[in-house]
Amino acid sequence: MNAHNDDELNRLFAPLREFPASSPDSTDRIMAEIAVDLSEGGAKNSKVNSGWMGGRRPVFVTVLAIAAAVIVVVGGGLWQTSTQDHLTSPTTTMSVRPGVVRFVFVSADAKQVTVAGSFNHWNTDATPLERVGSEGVWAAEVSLTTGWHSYMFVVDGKQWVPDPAAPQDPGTEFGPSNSAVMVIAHNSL
Amino acid sequence: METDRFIIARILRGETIAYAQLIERHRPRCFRYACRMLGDYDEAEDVAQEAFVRAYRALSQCVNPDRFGEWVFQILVNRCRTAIERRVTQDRWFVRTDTDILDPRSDISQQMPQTDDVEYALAQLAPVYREALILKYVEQLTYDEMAEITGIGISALKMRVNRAGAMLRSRLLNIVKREENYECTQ
Amino acid sequence: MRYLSENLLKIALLLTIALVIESSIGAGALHAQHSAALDKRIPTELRPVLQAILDSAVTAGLPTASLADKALEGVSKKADGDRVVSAVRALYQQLKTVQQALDSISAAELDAATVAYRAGTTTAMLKTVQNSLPKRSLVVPYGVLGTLVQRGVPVSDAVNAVVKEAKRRKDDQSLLALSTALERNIAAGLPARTALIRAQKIPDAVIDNERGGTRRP
Repeated sequence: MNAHNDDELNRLFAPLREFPASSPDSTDRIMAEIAVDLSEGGAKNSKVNSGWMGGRRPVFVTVLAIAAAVIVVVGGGLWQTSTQDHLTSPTTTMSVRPGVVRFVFVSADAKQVTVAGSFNHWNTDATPLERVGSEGVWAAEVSLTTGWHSYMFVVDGKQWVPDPAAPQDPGTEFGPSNSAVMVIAHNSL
Repeated sequence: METDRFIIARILRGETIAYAQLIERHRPRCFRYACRMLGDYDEAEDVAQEAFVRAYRALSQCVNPDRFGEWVFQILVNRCRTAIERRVTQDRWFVRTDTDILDPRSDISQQMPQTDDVEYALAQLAPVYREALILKYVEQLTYDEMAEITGIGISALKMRVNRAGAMLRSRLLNIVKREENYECTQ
Repeated sequence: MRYLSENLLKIALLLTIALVIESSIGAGALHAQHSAALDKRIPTELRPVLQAILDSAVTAGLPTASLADKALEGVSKKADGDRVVSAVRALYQQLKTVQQALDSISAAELDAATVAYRAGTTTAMLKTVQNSLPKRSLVVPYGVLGTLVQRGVPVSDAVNAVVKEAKRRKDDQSLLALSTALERNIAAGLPARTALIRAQKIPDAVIDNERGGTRRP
Protein backbone atom coordinates (compact mmCIF):
# COMPACT_ATOMS: atom_id res chain seq x y z
CA MET A 1 0.00 0.00 0.00
CA ASN A 2 1.40 3.36 -0.91
CA ALA A 3 1.97 6.12 1.60
CA HIS A 4 -0.95 8.14 0.33
CA ASN A 5 -3.43 5.35 0.96
CA ASP A 6 -1.82 4.63 4.30
CA ASP A 7 -2.27 8.25 5.41
CA GLU A 8 -5.81 8.26 4.14
CA LEU A 9 -6.70 5.18 6.17
CA ASN A 10 -4.95 6.59 9.21
CA ARG A 11 -7.15 9.67 8.98
CA LEU A 12 -10.30 7.63 8.46
CA PHE A 13 -9.57 5.44 11.46
CA ALA A 14 -8.56 8.25 13.83
CA PRO A 15 -11.99 8.52 15.50
CA LEU A 16 -12.03 4.77 16.04
CA ARG A 17 -8.88 5.07 18.13
CA GLU A 18 -10.83 6.77 20.89
CA PHE A 19 -11.56 4.54 23.86
CA PRO A 20 -15.23 3.72 24.15
CA ALA A 21 -16.84 4.17 27.55
CA SER A 22 -17.42 0.86 29.25
CA SER A 23 -19.64 -0.20 32.08
CA PRO A 24 -18.36 1.23 35.41
CA ASP A 25 -18.55 -2.16 37.09
CA SER A 26 -16.58 -4.04 34.42
CA THR A 27 -13.59 -4.63 36.68
CA ASP A 28 -15.75 -5.77 39.57
CA ARG A 29 -17.60 -8.18 37.27
CA ILE A 30 -14.36 -9.79 36.20
CA MET A 31 -13.15 -10.00 39.80
CA ALA A 32 -16.47 -11.52 40.84
CA GLU A 33 -16.10 -14.09 38.06
CA ILE A 34 -12.66 -14.98 39.36
CA ALA A 35 -14.10 -15.20 42.86
CA VAL A 36 -16.65 -17.74 41.67
CA ASP A 37 -13.89 -19.54 39.84
CA LEU A 38 -11.83 -19.85 42.99
CA SER A 39 -14.71 -20.81 45.21
CA GLU A 40 -15.52 -23.74 42.93
CA GLY A 41 -12.27 -25.44 43.80
CA GLY A 42 -8.57 -25.13 44.00
CA ALA A 43 -7.80 -26.74 40.67
CA LYS A 44 -7.86 -23.58 38.62
CA ASN A 45 -6.44 -21.55 41.43
CA SER A 46 -3.52 -23.87 41.88
CA LYS A 47 -2.25 -22.88 38.47
CA VAL A 48 -1.80 -19.41 39.80
CA ASN A 49 -0.11 -20.61 42.94
CA SER A 50 2.49 -22.54 41.06
CA GLY A 51 3.27 -19.61 38.87
CA TRP A 52 6.44 -18.43 37.30
CA MET A 53 7.92 -17.84 40.70
CA GLY A 54 7.44 -21.49 41.43
CA GLY A 55 6.28 -21.03 44.97
CA ARG A 56 3.35 -21.90 47.09
CA ARG A 57 0.76 -19.56 48.47
CA PRO A 58 1.16 -18.42 52.04
CA VAL A 59 -0.78 -20.58 54.39
CA PHE A 60 -3.32 -19.26 56.88
CA VAL A 61 -2.23 -15.80 56.19
CA THR A 62 -3.47 -12.73 54.56
CA VAL A 63 -0.66 -10.55 53.44
CA LEU A 64 -1.82 -7.09 52.80
CA ALA A 65 -0.02 -4.23 51.33
CA ILE A 66 -0.78 -1.61 53.89
CA ALA A 67 0.27 1.89 53.12
CA ALA A 68 0.50 2.89 56.68
CA ALA A 69 3.46 1.63 58.41
CA VAL A 70 3.77 -0.78 61.13
CA ILE A 71 6.40 -0.70 63.72
CA VAL A 72 5.91 -3.74 65.81
CA VAL A 73 8.08 -6.43 67.13
CA VAL A 74 7.74 -10.10 66.65
CA GLY A 75 8.76 -12.32 69.46
CA GLY A 76 8.34 -10.01 72.41
CA GLY A 77 6.14 -11.56 75.05
CA LEU A 78 3.99 -8.50 75.33
CA TRP A 79 3.27 -8.40 71.65
CA GLN A 80 2.47 -12.03 71.20
CA THR A 81 0.24 -12.27 74.19
CA SER A 82 -1.70 -9.18 73.46
CA THR A 83 -2.06 -10.08 69.82
CA GLN A 84 -3.59 -13.38 70.67
CA ASP A 85 -5.85 -11.84 73.25
CA HIS A 86 -7.14 -9.18 70.96
CA LEU A 87 -7.19 -10.73 67.56
CA THR A 88 -9.13 -13.76 68.61
CA SER A 89 -12.29 -14.43 70.44
CA PRO A 90 -11.92 -16.54 73.61
CA THR A 91 -13.38 -19.61 71.95
CA THR A 92 -10.94 -19.63 69.09
CA THR A 93 -7.70 -18.56 70.67
CA MET A 94 -6.11 -21.88 69.87
CA SER A 95 -6.80 -21.51 66.19
CA VAL A 96 -4.35 -18.64 65.86
CA ARG A 97 -1.37 -19.83 63.88
CA PRO A 98 1.72 -18.10 62.75
CA GLY A 99 1.50 -17.15 59.12
CA VAL A 100 3.87 -17.49 56.25
CA VAL A 101 4.58 -14.45 54.14
CA ARG A 102 6.22 -14.80 50.79
CA PHE A 103 8.56 -11.91 50.09
CA VAL A 104 9.33 -11.38 46.42
CA PHE A 105 11.90 -9.09 44.90
CA VAL A 106 12.78 -8.70 41.23
CA SER A 107 16.25 -7.72 40.13
CA ALA A 108 18.24 -9.20 37.31
CA ASP A 109 21.46 -7.59 38.53
CA ALA A 110 21.45 -8.42 42.23
CA LYS A 111 23.94 -10.97 43.50
CA GLN A 112 22.43 -11.29 46.94
CA VAL A 113 19.07 -10.19 48.37
CA THR A 114 17.88 -10.36 51.96
CA VAL A 115 14.87 -8.95 53.73
CA ALA A 116 15.26 -7.05 56.99
CA GLY A 117 12.38 -5.86 59.07
CA SER A 118 10.68 -5.65 62.40
CA PHE A 119 10.17 -9.43 62.35
CA ASN A 120 13.92 -10.18 62.38
CA HIS A 121 15.05 -7.13 64.35
CA TRP A 122 16.32 -5.52 61.17
CA ASN A 123 19.05 -8.09 60.82
CA THR A 124 20.37 -7.86 57.28
CA ASP A 125 21.75 -11.40 57.28
CA ALA A 126 18.94 -13.31 58.93
CA THR A 127 16.55 -13.78 56.04
CA PRO A 128 18.10 -14.35 52.62
CA LEU A 129 15.97 -14.57 49.49
CA GLU A 130 16.69 -17.29 46.97
CA ARG A 131 16.69 -17.04 43.22
CA VAL A 132 13.54 -18.43 41.66
CA GLY A 133 13.73 -19.24 37.97
CA SER A 134 15.82 -17.25 35.54
CA GLU A 135 13.79 -14.06 35.46
CA GLY A 136 15.71 -12.27 38.20
CA VAL A 137 13.04 -13.16 40.72
CA TRP A 138 14.09 -13.61 44.35
CA ALA A 139 11.79 -15.01 47.00
CA ALA A 140 11.68 -16.14 50.62
CA GLU A 141 8.89 -17.45 52.78
CA VAL A 142 8.94 -16.25 56.34
CA SER A 143 6.79 -17.29 59.27
CA LEU A 144 5.34 -14.21 60.91
CA THR A 145 3.11 -13.66 63.86
CA THR A 146 -0.18 -11.88 63.41
CA GLY A 147 0.13 -8.14 63.27
CA TRP A 148 1.93 -5.46 61.40
CA HIS A 149 5.45 -5.74 60.07
CA SER A 150 7.65 -3.21 58.34
CA TYR A 151 10.56 -4.23 56.18
CA MET A 152 12.94 -3.47 53.34
CA PHE A 153 14.99 -5.53 50.95
CA VAL A 154 18.76 -5.34 51.23
CA VAL A 155 20.52 -5.80 47.91
CA ASP A 156 24.12 -7.00 47.86
CA GLY A 157 24.43 -6.31 51.57
CA LYS A 158 24.37 -2.54 51.27
CA GLN A 159 21.50 -1.12 49.28
CA TRP A 160 18.17 -0.72 51.11
CA VAL A 161 15.24 -0.98 48.71
CA PRO A 162 11.54 -0.71 49.61
CA ASP A 163 9.21 -3.36 48.19
CA PRO A 164 7.69 -1.82 45.07
CA ALA A 165 4.75 -4.17 45.44
CA ALA A 166 3.85 -2.91 48.90
CA PRO A 167 2.85 0.49 50.20
CA GLN A 168 4.94 2.64 52.44
CA ASP A 169 5.47 3.24 56.10
CA PRO A 170 4.79 6.83 57.21
CA GLY A 171 8.18 7.16 58.91
CA THR A 172 11.22 8.49 57.10
CA GLU A 173 13.66 8.81 60.00
CA PHE A 174 16.30 6.74 58.31
CA GLY A 175 15.81 7.62 54.67
CA PRO A 176 13.21 6.18 52.30
CA SER A 177 10.06 4.81 53.91
CA ASN A 178 9.84 1.16 54.81
CA SER A 179 7.31 -1.17 53.24
CA ALA A 180 4.62 -2.83 55.31
CA VAL A 181 2.64 -6.05 55.40
CA MET A 182 -0.02 -7.22 57.75
CA VAL A 183 -0.77 -10.71 58.91
CA ILE A 184 -4.16 -11.30 60.42
CA ALA A 185 -5.27 -14.05 62.74
CA HIS A 186 -6.66 -17.16 61.12
CA ASN A 187 -9.97 -16.90 62.89
CA SER A 188 -10.72 -13.64 61.18
CA LEU A 189 -10.43 -15.23 57.77
CA MET B 1 3.35 3.28 39.01
CA GLU B 2 3.88 -0.39 39.75
CA THR B 3 5.02 -2.47 36.81
CA ASP B 4 2.92 -5.34 35.56
CA ARG B 5 5.66 -7.66 36.76
CA PHE B 6 5.29 -6.49 40.35
CA ILE B 7 1.53 -6.64 40.26
CA ILE B 8 1.74 -10.20 38.98
CA ALA B 9 4.20 -10.95 41.76
CA ARG B 10 1.62 -9.69 44.25
CA ILE B 11 -1.11 -11.84 42.70
CA LEU B 12 1.03 -14.95 42.75
CA ARG B 13 1.95 -14.17 46.33
CA GLY B 14 -1.70 -14.49 47.21
CA GLU B 15 -3.08 -10.99 46.69
CA THR B 16 -5.67 -12.01 44.14
CA ILE B 17 -7.32 -8.64 44.33
CA ALA B 18 -4.28 -6.97 42.81
CA TYR B 19 -5.46 -8.45 39.50
CA ALA B 20 -8.03 -5.64 39.40
CA GLN B 21 -5.13 -3.27 38.92
CA LEU B 22 -4.08 -5.12 35.77
CA ILE B 23 -7.65 -5.09 34.51
CA GLU B 24 -7.98 -1.33 35.01
CA ARG B 25 -4.71 -0.79 33.24
CA HIS B 26 -5.26 -2.94 30.15
CA ARG B 27 -8.99 -3.22 29.77
CA PRO B 28 -9.60 0.04 27.85
CA ARG B 29 -7.47 -1.09 24.94
CA CYS B 30 -8.99 -4.57 24.95
CA PHE B 31 -12.52 -3.22 25.13
CA ARG B 32 -11.83 -0.83 22.26
CA TYR B 33 -10.53 -3.64 20.08
CA ALA B 34 -13.49 -5.87 20.92
CA CYS B 35 -15.94 -3.05 20.16
CA ARG B 36 -14.36 -2.31 16.80
CA MET B 37 -14.04 -5.95 15.92
CA LEU B 38 -17.47 -7.15 17.05
CA GLY B 39 -19.49 -3.98 16.56
CA ASP B 40 -21.58 -4.80 19.60
CA TYR B 41 -20.84 -3.23 22.99
CA ASP B 42 -22.51 -5.90 25.09
CA GLU B 43 -20.73 -8.68 23.27
CA ALA B 44 -17.48 -6.72 23.53
CA GLU B 45 -17.94 -6.47 27.31
CA ASP B 46 -18.48 -10.22 27.53
CA VAL B 47 -15.52 -11.10 25.35
CA ALA B 48 -13.18 -8.71 27.17
CA GLN B 49 -14.31 -10.21 30.47
CA GLU B 50 -13.70 -13.70 29.13
CA ALA B 51 -10.21 -12.72 28.01
CA PHE B 52 -9.26 -11.35 31.42
CA VAL B 53 -10.66 -14.37 33.26
CA ARG B 54 -8.74 -16.69 30.94
CA ALA B 55 -5.59 -14.63 31.43
CA TYR B 56 -5.98 -14.89 35.20
CA ARG B 57 -6.37 -18.64 35.06
CA ALA B 58 -3.30 -18.94 32.88
CA LEU B 59 -1.23 -16.33 34.71
CA SER B 60 1.46 -18.88 35.43
CA GLN B 61 1.94 -19.29 31.68
CA CYS B 62 2.65 -15.60 31.13
CA VAL B 63 6.27 -16.06 30.17
CA ASN B 64 7.14 -12.38 30.27
CA PRO B 65 5.19 -10.60 33.04
CA ASP B 66 6.46 -7.22 31.84
CA ARG B 67 4.42 -7.75 28.68
CA PHE B 68 1.18 -8.82 30.31
CA GLY B 69 -0.70 -6.21 28.26
CA GLU B 70 0.40 -7.70 24.95
CA TRP B 71 -0.32 -11.17 26.24
CA VAL B 72 -3.88 -10.48 27.36
CA PHE B 73 -4.46 -8.58 24.12
CA GLN B 74 -3.41 -11.64 22.16
CA ILE B 75 -5.86 -13.72 24.17
CA LEU B 76 -8.55 -11.16 23.39
CA VAL B 77 -7.84 -11.23 19.66
CA ASN B 78 -8.32 -14.99 19.71
CA ARG B 79 -11.50 -14.71 21.78
CA CYS B 80 -12.90 -12.23 19.25
CA ARG B 81 -12.17 -14.67 16.45
CA THR B 82 -13.96 -17.42 18.35
CA ALA B 83 -16.91 -15.15 19.12
CA ILE B 84 -17.29 -14.35 15.43
CA GLU B 85 -17.06 -18.00 14.47
CA ARG B 86 -19.83 -18.76 16.94
CA ARG B 87 -22.16 -16.28 15.36
CA VAL B 88 -24.85 -17.42 13.02
CA THR B 89 -23.89 -17.39 9.38
CA GLN B 90 -25.77 -14.19 8.63
CA ASP B 91 -22.60 -12.22 9.17
CA ARG B 92 -20.83 -14.13 6.50
CA TRP B 93 -22.78 -12.63 3.63
CA PHE B 94 -20.82 -9.45 4.25
CA VAL B 95 -17.85 -11.15 2.67
CA ARG B 96 -17.18 -9.61 -0.70
CA THR B 97 -14.89 -10.50 -3.51
CA ASP B 98 -12.10 -8.36 -4.78
CA THR B 99 -14.34 -7.12 -7.60
CA ASP B 100 -15.53 -4.50 -5.16
CA ILE B 101 -12.14 -2.94 -5.03
CA LEU B 102 -12.27 0.64 -6.12
CA ASP B 103 -9.85 2.59 -8.22
CA PRO B 104 -7.11 3.32 -5.71
CA ARG B 105 -6.55 6.77 -7.17
CA SER B 106 -9.78 8.17 -5.80
CA ASP B 107 -9.41 9.71 -2.34
CA ILE B 108 -12.36 8.66 -0.27
CA SER B 109 -11.37 10.76 2.72
CA GLN B 110 -11.97 13.91 0.70
CA GLN B 111 -15.61 12.93 0.50
CA MET B 112 -15.98 13.15 4.25
CA PRO B 113 -17.42 9.83 5.33
CA GLN B 114 -18.75 9.88 8.89
CA THR B 115 -17.32 7.77 11.68
CA ASP B 116 -20.47 5.69 11.61
CA ASP B 117 -19.86 5.11 7.92
CA VAL B 118 -16.36 3.84 8.61
CA GLU B 119 -17.66 1.51 11.29
CA TYR B 120 -20.41 0.33 9.03
CA ALA B 121 -18.04 -0.28 6.15
CA LEU B 122 -15.65 -2.05 8.49
CA ALA B 123 -18.43 -4.30 9.72
CA GLN B 124 -19.10 -5.35 6.16
CA LEU B 125 -15.63 -6.70 5.69
CA ALA B 126 -14.78 -10.34 6.32
CA PRO B 127 -13.41 -10.77 9.87
CA VAL B 128 -9.89 -11.48 8.67
CA TYR B 129 -9.78 -8.17 6.78
CA ARG B 130 -11.46 -6.30 9.61
CA GLU B 131 -8.95 -7.71 12.04
CA ALA B 132 -6.04 -6.65 9.83
CA LEU B 133 -7.28 -3.09 9.48
CA ILE B 134 -8.08 -2.65 13.16
CA LEU B 135 -4.70 -3.96 14.24
CA LYS B 136 -2.97 -1.72 11.74
CA TYR B 137 -4.94 1.52 11.93
CA VAL B 138 -6.71 1.46 15.30
CA GLU B 139 -4.09 -0.33 17.38
CA GLN B 140 -1.37 1.12 15.14
CA LEU B 141 0.78 -1.97 15.44
CA THR B 142 3.82 -2.65 13.32
CA TYR B 143 3.73 -5.65 11.01
CA ASP B 144 6.11 -7.44 13.35
CA GLU B 145 3.72 -6.93 16.25
CA MET B 146 0.75 -7.97 14.14
CA ALA B 147 2.56 -11.12 13.11
CA GLU B 148 3.30 -11.97 16.73
CA ILE B 149 -0.33 -11.57 17.76
CA THR B 150 -2.01 -13.20 14.80
CA GLY B 151 0.56 -15.86 13.98
CA ILE B 152 0.40 -14.85 10.33
CA GLY B 153 3.47 -14.05 8.20
CA ILE B 154 4.38 -10.43 7.57
CA SER B 155 4.06 -10.58 3.79
CA ALA B 156 0.64 -12.21 4.04
CA LEU B 157 -0.42 -9.53 6.51
CA LYS B 158 0.75 -6.74 4.23
CA MET B 159 -1.24 -8.23 1.39
CA ARG B 160 -4.26 -8.59 3.61
CA VAL B 161 -4.07 -5.00 4.85
CA ASN B 162 -3.70 -3.79 1.28
CA ARG B 163 -6.69 -5.68 0.11
CA ALA B 164 -8.77 -4.79 3.16
CA GLY B 165 -7.96 -1.09 2.73
CA ALA B 166 -9.10 -1.15 -0.87
CA MET B 167 -12.30 -2.99 0.04
CA LEU B 168 -13.05 -0.55 2.80
CA ARG B 169 -12.61 2.42 0.48
CA SER B 170 -14.94 0.78 -2.00
CA ARG B 171 -17.60 0.31 0.67
CA LEU B 172 -17.19 3.86 1.87
CA LEU B 173 -17.51 5.29 -1.57
CA ASN B 174 -20.72 3.36 -2.10
CA ILE B 175 -22.06 4.61 1.20
CA VAL B 176 -21.14 8.21 0.45
CA LYS B 177 -22.69 7.98 -3.00
CA ARG B 178 -25.88 6.52 -1.57
CA GLU B 179 -26.05 9.32 0.96
CA GLU B 180 -25.50 11.94 -1.75
CA ASN B 181 -28.27 10.42 -3.87
CA TYR B 182 -30.51 10.34 -0.84
CA GLU B 183 -29.87 14.02 -0.15
CA CYS B 184 -30.60 14.93 -3.81
CA THR B 185 -33.97 13.25 -3.73
CA GLN B 186 -35.06 15.08 -0.58
CA MET C 1 -15.09 -9.88 113.16
CA ARG C 2 -12.55 -7.15 113.49
CA TYR C 3 -9.80 -9.83 113.64
CA LEU C 4 -11.13 -11.33 110.44
CA SER C 5 -11.19 -7.95 108.70
CA GLU C 6 -7.61 -7.22 109.72
CA ASN C 7 -6.51 -10.62 108.44
CA LEU C 8 -8.32 -10.06 105.18
CA LEU C 9 -6.65 -6.69 104.89
CA LYS C 10 -3.26 -8.28 105.52
CA ILE C 11 -3.92 -10.98 102.94
CA ALA C 12 -5.03 -8.38 100.41
CA LEU C 13 -1.91 -6.35 101.13
CA LEU C 14 0.33 -9.38 100.74
CA LEU C 15 -1.39 -10.32 97.49
CA THR C 16 -0.93 -6.79 96.19
CA ILE C 17 2.77 -6.84 97.08
CA ALA C 18 3.12 -10.26 95.49
CA LEU C 19 1.47 -8.98 92.32
CA VAL C 20 3.70 -5.93 92.22
CA ILE C 21 6.79 -8.12 92.69
CA GLU C 22 5.53 -10.52 90.05
CA SER C 23 4.88 -7.75 87.57
CA SER C 24 8.27 -6.22 88.37
CA ILE C 25 9.93 -9.54 87.70
CA GLY C 26 7.92 -9.81 84.48
CA ALA C 27 8.86 -6.32 83.44
CA GLY C 28 12.45 -6.99 84.46
CA ALA C 29 12.54 -10.11 82.36
CA LEU C 30 11.11 -8.22 79.44
CA HIS C 31 13.50 -5.40 80.09
CA ALA C 32 16.41 -7.83 80.15
CA GLN C 33 15.21 -9.40 76.93
CA HIS C 34 15.31 -6.09 75.11
CA SER C 35 18.51 -5.07 76.79
CA ALA C 36 20.07 -8.16 75.33
CA ALA C 37 18.70 -7.23 71.91
CA LEU C 38 20.21 -3.78 72.33
CA ASP C 39 23.57 -5.09 73.49
CA LYS C 40 24.21 -7.08 70.38
CA ARG C 41 24.36 -4.44 67.72
CA ILE C 42 23.80 -1.09 69.39
CA PRO C 43 27.07 0.84 69.70
CA THR C 44 28.32 1.15 73.27
CA GLU C 45 27.99 4.92 73.37
CA LEU C 46 24.28 4.75 72.49
CA ARG C 47 23.30 2.08 74.98
CA PRO C 48 22.87 4.23 78.11
CA VAL C 49 20.57 6.77 76.51
CA LEU C 50 18.53 4.15 74.66
CA GLN C 51 18.30 2.04 77.79
CA ALA C 52 16.97 5.05 79.65
CA ILE C 53 14.21 5.47 77.05
CA LEU C 54 13.31 1.78 77.32
CA ASP C 55 13.24 2.06 81.12
CA SER C 56 10.91 5.01 80.88
CA ALA C 57 8.70 3.03 78.53
CA VAL C 58 8.48 0.14 80.98
CA THR C 59 7.52 2.55 83.72
CA ALA C 60 4.91 4.19 81.54
CA GLY C 61 3.50 0.82 80.50
CA LEU C 62 4.46 1.30 76.89
CA PRO C 63 5.53 -1.58 74.63
CA THR C 64 9.31 -1.54 74.51
CA ALA C 65 9.65 -3.92 71.59
CA SER C 66 8.85 -1.36 68.91
CA LEU C 67 11.27 1.10 70.51
CA ALA C 68 14.10 -1.44 70.58
CA ASP C 69 13.39 -2.31 66.98
CA LYS C 70 13.41 1.31 65.92
CA ALA C 71 16.91 1.58 67.37
CA LEU C 72 18.03 -1.58 65.61
CA GLU C 73 16.56 -0.37 62.35
CA GLY C 74 18.61 2.82 62.56
CA VAL C 75 21.78 0.96 63.43
CA SER C 76 21.31 -1.55 60.62
CA LYS C 77 20.77 1.29 58.17
CA LYS C 78 23.96 2.88 59.49
CA ALA C 79 22.23 6.06 60.64
CA ASP C 80 24.34 8.23 62.93
CA GLY C 81 23.85 7.94 66.67
CA ASP C 82 21.97 11.19 67.16
CA ARG C 83 19.49 10.24 64.50
CA VAL C 84 18.89 6.85 66.06
CA VAL C 85 18.28 8.32 69.50
CA SER C 86 16.10 11.04 68.07
CA ALA C 87 13.95 8.51 66.17
CA VAL C 88 13.51 6.29 69.24
CA ARG C 89 12.66 9.27 71.42
CA ALA C 90 10.13 10.53 68.87
CA LEU C 91 8.48 7.12 68.72
CA TYR C 92 8.38 7.00 72.52
CA GLN C 93 6.56 10.35 72.59
CA GLN C 94 4.13 9.24 69.91
CA LEU C 95 3.35 5.98 71.73
CA LYS C 96 2.81 7.90 74.95
CA THR C 97 0.55 10.50 73.34
CA VAL C 98 -1.61 7.82 71.76
CA GLN C 99 -1.69 5.72 74.93
CA GLN C 100 -2.88 8.68 76.97
CA ALA C 101 -5.64 9.40 74.48
CA LEU C 102 -7.05 5.87 74.40
CA ASP C 103 -8.52 3.77 77.17
CA SER C 104 -7.28 0.29 78.05
CA ILE C 105 -5.56 -0.56 74.83
CA SER C 106 -3.34 -3.53 74.12
CA ALA C 107 0.27 -3.21 72.99
CA ALA C 108 -0.61 -4.40 69.50
CA GLU C 109 -3.46 -1.91 69.25
CA LEU C 110 -1.21 0.84 70.56
CA ASP C 111 1.38 0.05 67.91
CA ALA C 112 -1.25 0.11 65.16
CA ALA C 113 -2.86 3.29 66.51
CA THR C 114 0.55 4.94 66.59
CA VAL C 115 1.01 4.03 62.94
CA ALA C 116 -2.24 5.86 62.16
CA TYR C 117 -1.16 8.76 64.35
CA ARG C 118 2.19 9.01 62.57
CA ALA C 119 0.36 8.99 59.24
CA GLY C 120 -1.58 12.08 60.30
CA THR C 121 -4.62 10.93 62.27
CA THR C 122 -5.44 12.99 65.34
CA THR C 123 -5.82 11.41 68.78
CA ALA C 124 -9.43 12.62 68.83
CA MET C 125 -10.11 10.61 65.69
CA LEU C 126 -8.38 7.57 67.15
CA LYS C 127 -10.65 7.91 70.16
CA THR C 128 -13.68 8.15 67.89
CA VAL C 129 -12.72 4.84 66.29
CA GLN C 130 -12.28 3.21 69.70
CA ASN C 131 -15.64 4.45 70.91
CA SER C 132 -17.37 3.40 67.71
CA LEU C 133 -15.98 -0.13 67.69
CA PRO C 134 -16.28 -1.56 71.18
CA LYS C 135 -15.65 -5.25 71.83
CA ARG C 136 -13.33 -5.89 68.93
CA SER C 137 -9.64 -5.72 68.28
CA LEU C 138 -8.61 -2.37 66.88
CA VAL C 139 -5.33 -3.55 65.38
CA VAL C 140 -6.65 -3.86 61.84
CA PRO C 141 -9.03 -0.85 61.97
CA TYR C 142 -6.22 1.40 63.13
CA GLY C 143 -3.80 -0.04 60.61
CA VAL C 144 -6.21 0.44 57.73
CA LEU C 145 -7.02 3.94 59.00
CA GLY C 146 -3.32 4.70 58.81
CA THR C 147 -3.27 3.34 55.27
CA LEU C 148 -6.05 5.59 54.11
CA VAL C 149 -4.65 8.71 55.73
CA GLN C 150 -1.15 7.96 54.50
CA ARG C 151 -2.56 7.71 51.00
CA GLY C 152 -4.09 11.17 51.21
CA VAL C 153 -7.68 10.42 52.18
CA PRO C 154 -9.00 13.22 54.47
CA VAL C 155 -8.90 11.99 58.09
CA SER C 156 -12.63 12.37 58.72
CA ASP C 157 -13.47 10.45 55.53
CA ALA C 158 -10.99 7.74 56.46
CA VAL C 159 -12.44 7.37 59.97
CA ASN C 160 -15.98 7.18 58.61
CA ALA C 161 -14.99 4.58 56.02
CA VAL C 162 -13.16 2.36 58.53
CA VAL C 163 -15.90 2.51 61.14
CA LYS C 164 -18.61 1.87 58.55
CA GLU C 165 -16.81 -1.11 57.07
CA ALA C 166 -15.89 -2.55 60.47
CA LYS C 167 -19.52 -2.36 61.53
CA ARG C 168 -20.81 -3.76 58.24
CA ARG C 169 -18.68 -6.89 58.45
CA LYS C 170 -17.08 -8.15 61.60
CA ASP C 171 -14.13 -9.89 59.96
CA ASP C 172 -10.86 -8.07 59.38
CA GLN C 173 -10.85 -9.31 55.80
CA SER C 174 -13.28 -6.69 54.55
CA LEU C 175 -11.15 -3.92 56.02
CA LEU C 176 -8.12 -5.38 54.30
CA ALA C 177 -10.06 -5.53 51.04
CA LEU C 178 -10.98 -1.87 51.47
CA SER C 179 -7.35 -0.94 51.87
CA THR C 180 -6.21 -3.04 48.93
CA ALA C 181 -8.94 -1.65 46.70
CA LEU C 182 -7.86 1.86 47.65
CA GLU C 183 -4.29 1.02 46.67
CA ARG C 184 -5.50 -0.36 43.37
CA ASN C 185 -7.63 2.66 42.59
CA ILE C 186 -4.86 5.11 43.43
CA ALA C 187 -2.45 3.12 41.28
CA ALA C 188 -5.01 3.39 38.48
CA GLY C 189 -4.77 7.16 38.77
CA LEU C 190 -7.82 8.12 40.85
CA PRO C 191 -7.54 10.90 43.44
CA ALA C 192 -7.48 9.57 47.02
CA ARG C 193 -11.02 10.52 47.94
CA THR C 194 -12.53 9.12 44.75
CA ALA C 195 -10.41 6.03 45.15
CA LEU C 196 -11.89 5.52 48.61
CA ILE C 197 -15.47 6.00 47.46
CA ARG C 198 -14.92 3.45 44.74
CA ALA C 199 -13.13 1.07 47.09
CA GLN C 200 -16.16 1.07 49.36
CA LYS C 201 -18.21 -0.44 46.54
CA ILE C 202 -16.16 -3.59 46.38
CA PRO C 203 -18.48 -6.60 46.12
CA ASP C 204 -18.64 -9.08 48.97
CA ALA C 205 -17.90 -11.87 46.49
CA VAL C 206 -14.47 -10.39 45.93
CA ILE C 207 -13.83 -10.00 49.65
CA ASP C 208 -14.85 -13.59 50.26
CA ASN C 209 -12.67 -14.70 47.42
CA GLU C 210 -9.72 -13.06 49.11
CA ARG C 211 -10.64 -14.87 52.24
CA GLY C 212 -10.87 -18.22 50.52
CA GLY C 213 -7.72 -17.58 48.57
CA THR C 214 -5.59 -17.35 51.65
CA ARG C 215 -6.51 -20.70 53.03
CA ARG C 216 -4.55 -23.82 52.58
CA PRO C 217 -5.21 -25.17 49.08
